[in-house]
Amino acid sequence: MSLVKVTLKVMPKPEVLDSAGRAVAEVLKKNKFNLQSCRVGKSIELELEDSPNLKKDILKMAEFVLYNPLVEQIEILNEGELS
Amino acid sequence: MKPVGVLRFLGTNCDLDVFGALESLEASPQWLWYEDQFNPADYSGFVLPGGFSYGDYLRSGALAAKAPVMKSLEEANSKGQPILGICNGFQILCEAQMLPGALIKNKGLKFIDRFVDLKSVTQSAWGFDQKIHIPIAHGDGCYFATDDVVKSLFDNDQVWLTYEDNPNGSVKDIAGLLNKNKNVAALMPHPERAMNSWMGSRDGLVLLNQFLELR
Repeated sequence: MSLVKVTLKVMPKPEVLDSAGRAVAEVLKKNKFNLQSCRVGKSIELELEDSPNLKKDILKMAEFVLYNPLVEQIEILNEGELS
Repeated sequence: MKPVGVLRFLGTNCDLDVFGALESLEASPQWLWYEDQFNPADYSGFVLPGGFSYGDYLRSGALAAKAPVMKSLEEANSKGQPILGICNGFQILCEAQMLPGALIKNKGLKFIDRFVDLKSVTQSAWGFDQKIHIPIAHGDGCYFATDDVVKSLFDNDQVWLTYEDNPNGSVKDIAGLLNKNKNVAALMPHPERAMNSWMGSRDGLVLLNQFLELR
């Protein structure tokens, strides 16, 4: 089995107050940068053995602990590369 | 003597302790709000107290380093005025590139709140002979810099303080730093929390007096 690298992007849901994003946006605007908004999330890199159920396994991990579906949304950034 | 400016950012929380400590040393502290700019010539020195400015978003000190008040502080720095950063103040000064390196998550991943023993390394006017015993309280206190920067810190006599028993994984046990010009000093421990024997130690007086004497 070969190893695959999976990158997940976790972002606060649009309707949730993203305090970090708002603080960063304010600082950028006050320093005269032009922007409409800013959201701050995180990216998670997993390295795991390839398997036919890879996507399902990743989503299981995501639901187990990697994100909170109530306030966050998750995206597999390199989904196209996965089997 | 002109007043000492004490910078306050959103989320600074050791400001009153620092203010009180400076008052007790008759240093006539005066608040400087993060949104304001000031004339450096109106002050004899500056202190950046600890806390969690801007909720430590992005990186500790990263957003505070871009606040308007820091433009004036940079001016004060270029004039060689004494500047002291404590805890989050140290992180802010690193992010503002007034000091080299960065402070990252403690090696043990835990927030540490306890007394530590320090010694002074520098031969500059910031140095002193005795060992001192003052508290730390930080989660991001592990000093990090690349090998060549660390070497230059020792070559240029910029290491102010080191831990006797490294609590957080800081490279070369570094607890406090100076800039090349020796007008900016910063440390992770809290001298303002060791001002009276009932606080467990009076050794903070050594550090604050050192700063005040350089004005």
